[in-house]
Amino acid sequence: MRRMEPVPTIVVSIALCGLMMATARQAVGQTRDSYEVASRTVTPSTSKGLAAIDAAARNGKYLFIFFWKANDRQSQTMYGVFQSAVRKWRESADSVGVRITDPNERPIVDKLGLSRAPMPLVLALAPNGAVTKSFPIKFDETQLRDGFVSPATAKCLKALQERKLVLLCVQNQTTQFAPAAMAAAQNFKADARYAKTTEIVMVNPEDQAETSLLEGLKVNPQTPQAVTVVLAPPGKPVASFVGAVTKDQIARKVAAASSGCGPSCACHK
Amino acid sequence: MLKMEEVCKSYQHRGQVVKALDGATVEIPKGDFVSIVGPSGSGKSTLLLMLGGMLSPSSGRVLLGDDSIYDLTADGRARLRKENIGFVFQTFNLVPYLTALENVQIPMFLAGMDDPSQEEKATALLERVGLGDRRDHKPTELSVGQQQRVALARMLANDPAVILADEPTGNLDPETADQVIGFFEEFNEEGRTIVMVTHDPKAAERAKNTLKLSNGKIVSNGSTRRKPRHVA
Amino acid sequence: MKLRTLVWRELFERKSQMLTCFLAILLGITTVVAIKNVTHYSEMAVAREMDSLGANVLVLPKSATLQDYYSADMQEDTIPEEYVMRLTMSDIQGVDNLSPKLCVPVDLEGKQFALTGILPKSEFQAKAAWGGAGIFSRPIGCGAIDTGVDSKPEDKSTLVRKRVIKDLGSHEILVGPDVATFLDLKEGDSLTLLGEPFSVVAVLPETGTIDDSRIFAHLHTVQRLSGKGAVVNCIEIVGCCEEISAGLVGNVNKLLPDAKVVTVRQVVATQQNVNHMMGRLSVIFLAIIVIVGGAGIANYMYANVFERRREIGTLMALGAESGLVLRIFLLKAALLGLVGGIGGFVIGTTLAVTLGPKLAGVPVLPMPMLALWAVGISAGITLVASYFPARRAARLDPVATFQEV
Repeated sequence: MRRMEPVPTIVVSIALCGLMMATARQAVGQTRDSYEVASRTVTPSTSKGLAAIDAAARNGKYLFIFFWKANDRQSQTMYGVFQSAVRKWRESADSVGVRITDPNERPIVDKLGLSRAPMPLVLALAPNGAVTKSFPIKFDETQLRDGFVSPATAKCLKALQERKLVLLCVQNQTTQFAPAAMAAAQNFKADARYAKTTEIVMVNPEDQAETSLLEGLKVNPQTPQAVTVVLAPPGKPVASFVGAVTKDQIARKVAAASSGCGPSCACHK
Repeated sequence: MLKMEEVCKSYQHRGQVVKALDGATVEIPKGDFVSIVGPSGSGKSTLLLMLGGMLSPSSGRVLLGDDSIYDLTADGRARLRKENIGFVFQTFNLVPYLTALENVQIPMFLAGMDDPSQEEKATALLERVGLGDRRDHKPTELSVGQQQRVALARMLANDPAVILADEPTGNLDPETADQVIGFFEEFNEEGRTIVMVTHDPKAAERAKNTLKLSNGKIVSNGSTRRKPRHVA
Repeated sequence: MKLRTLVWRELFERKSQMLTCFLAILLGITTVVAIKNVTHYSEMAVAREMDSLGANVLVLPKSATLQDYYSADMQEDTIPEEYVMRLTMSDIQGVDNLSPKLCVPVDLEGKQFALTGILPKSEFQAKAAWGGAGIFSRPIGCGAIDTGVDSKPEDKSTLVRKRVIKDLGSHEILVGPDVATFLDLKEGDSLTLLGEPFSVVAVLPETGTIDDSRIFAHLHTVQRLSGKGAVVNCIEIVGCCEEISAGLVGNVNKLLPDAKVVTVRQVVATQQNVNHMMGRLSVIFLAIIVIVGGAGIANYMYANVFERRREIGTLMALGAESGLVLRIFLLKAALLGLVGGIGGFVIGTTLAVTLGPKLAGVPVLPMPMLALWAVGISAGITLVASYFPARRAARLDPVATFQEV
C-alpha cells in the first residue's frame, strides 16, 4: 500500500469541508427563504393594499386606493380620472390600485368590508388610517380633493369609525373656561363606563386649518369661550357646550341621545 | 136626552145623489127604550150612527142633552162617546187578539183608568153577563152568544148613559137573542137610555117605543104599547 | 190594558207578514253594522301601521309587485347587495337604518317557513362614517344614536319593532313565535338549516304579521347556502320621520335608477282603497235598507191598517181619539225598529268579530257605539215609513168600516 501524500489530503479536506458548509448554508438559506415565501402568503404583508396603507402612514401621507372588480368601461374611465388626480398630489398623497377579486388582496377587502361594495370605489385614507371619504362608482377630481381633511377631522373620523364617542375640545389659552371644560372631558373619559369608547380631540379655534370643521359643527372660530362638542358614531353631533361644563352634563346628554329617537325628529314618542 | 132636528143625510153614489135620511126629527127622552125598525136601506143604521156622533149630517142638528154633537171636533165626539155612549154591534166587533177580559177593559183604558181597577171592574162585568169563567178566552174560543155578551160587558165598561145597539141579535139564535134583550131591559131599568136598531119583531116589541123608518123618513114614532103617533 | 199591551199582542197576530218585513230590516242593519265594524278596525290597523312604519321606504327590484309591506321580500326578483353600501356612502339624509333582506323558503318537518337573511347594522355602520367632514353638518336622521356605549347586551327581540339588529353571528338565528311553537324551539336550542347547524339566540314576540313565521339568519350565510350570490330581495329603509322620508324617495330613485322605491304610504294605499270601498259600500247598503226596507215597512203597515180597519173603527166608536190610533201604529213601528236595530247590532257584531279577522286580517272587537247608531237608523226607518199609514189609520172613518159586512 502506498503512503497518502499529506498536502493534497489537507487541501481536498478543506475543499470538501468548504463545499459541505456551502451546501449546508444553501440548504438553510433555502429553507429560510421558502419559510419566508410561505409566510408571505399568509401574512398581511403580501397585500399590496395593506402595504400601501402602512407605507403612507409611515410617511405621514394620504393614501388614495382605487378598488375595482371587473375591467369594464366605468372602471377604466374612473381609473383615468383617478390617475390624473393623484399624479398632481404626489407630494401629499400616495396611490394604489386594488382588484378586490385578487386572493392576495383578501385581507384589505375583509378589513374594510368591501366584498359587497359598489365598484369602482375610491377610498381616501388619512395618515392616521381613518377613511376620510368614499367615492363610489362615479367621481371627478374636484370631488376626490375632498379626501383631504384637516388633522382634527381625521382624528375625529378615526375615533368615530372605531365606534367611539368623540369629545372635541375647542379651546386655547385665551378661551374662557378652558380648564373646566378640559377637566370635564378628562373626567368623562376617566369614567370606567366610557373609558374604552371615548376619544378626546383638541382643536385650537384660531387654527385656520380647522375653520371648516368648526363651521361644519356650528362652532364660532372666534369663540371667546371654550366649546366642547360631543360627537357620536357615525358622526352625529349629540351636544355642544359653550363655556364651563361638567362631566355629569355630558353624561346626561349622552344617555338621553342613546335612548331617544333623535333630537331633530318630529316623532318624539 | 137625544134630539135630532131636521136632519138630512145625502151620499154621492156613482154620480147619483142618494138620500139616506130626509128631514128626520126625533126626541128621545132620558130613560127611554126605543127600537128603530124599517126595511133594509131605510136609513136605520144611518140614524143610529148619527145619534152616536159617528156620522155627520148633511144638514140639521143632533143634540145630546143640550150639546150639539156635530159642533164638536171628531176627537171631541170621541170623548163624548167615551163618557156617555155605549155601542153594541151586530158583528160584535171584538178585538180578535185580546182575551174577553182585555176586550172589556178597552173602554176603561181609553178613559184612563188604572190597571188594577180595570181588571176588577172588567171581571165583575163579565160575571154579570155570566162569563166569569171565560175571562181568558179569545173571541175565536167563544160561541156567538158568548161573544155578544162580552160585547155587552164591554159596552157597560164606562157606565154609559146612552146605549146604541145596531142589530144586536142579528147573528144570534132565538134563545140567546132573548137573553140579550133581557140584559137590555135590565140596563134600561138602571136608567140608561137605549136605542136599538133591529129586524127582529120580537126584540122590537120588548122596547118601550118604536120608531119606523122608510126611505130615509120617519114614518111613525110611537109607543109599542100605544097606538103609533103620526109625526110631521 | 195599556197601550203597549195592545201593540205587543197585535204584533204576534199575523206573524209571517211581520217577520218577513222585520227580517229585511234586520238583515240590512246586520250587514251595515258588520261592514262598519270591520272597516273601523282595518282602518285602525292601517293607521297603526302608518304610525309605526309610515316613515319607512322600501327599495325593491323594478319588476316586483307589492301587496303587503311585511312580505316585501317574498318574491323572486333581486337587487344587488351593493345598493346597501351605495346608500350608506351617499349623502342622502335619513338612510341611517337600513335593513336589507333575502328570503329563501325552507322546508322544516313538512311545513314551509321563510328563511330571511338580514344584515346586522355593525356590518355597515362604520361605512356611515366614510362621509367625510360633511357628515358632521348633515341633519340628524332617525334612530337612537349609537353612542358607542353599550350598557347591556342588545335585546335581539327588538328586531321586530325596530326592524334592524346590531349584531348577528354567521350561524346564529332568530325565530318567529310560530316557528318556535311548531318546532318546539327556545333560546339556546340548535337547528339544522340547509345542511348547517344554527343556534337560536332569541324567539321573537308575536306581531300578527307574516314575520311570525320567519327564521332570521345572517344575510351572507343565507346567500352562501342558497347559492344566490350577493343579492337581496329588498332593502327596508327604516325612518321615523315622514317628512324626511318624503324627500328620501326622490333622492334614492336618483341614486338607484334600476330599483323601485316605494313608501309605506303607497303600500297601505291598497288597503286604504279597500277600506274606502267598504265604507262606500256600507253607505250604498244603508241606502238600500232605507229604500227597500222602508218601502217594505210602509207596505206592511198600510196592509195592517187595512186589515184592522174594523178594529180601528170599533176603537173609535168606543171613544178612541185619532191621536191614540196614531200612537198605536207608531209604537208598533218603533218597537219593530228597536228590536231590528238591537238584533242587527248583535248579529252584525258577532259576524264582524268572527269573520273580520279572516277577511281583513285584523283583530276585530265589538263597537258599542254602533248599537246606538243601528237602533237609531232602524227605528228611524220604521217610524218614517209608518207615519203615513198611521196617519191614515187615525183619519179612518169608522162608519165606512162598519158598513162592510
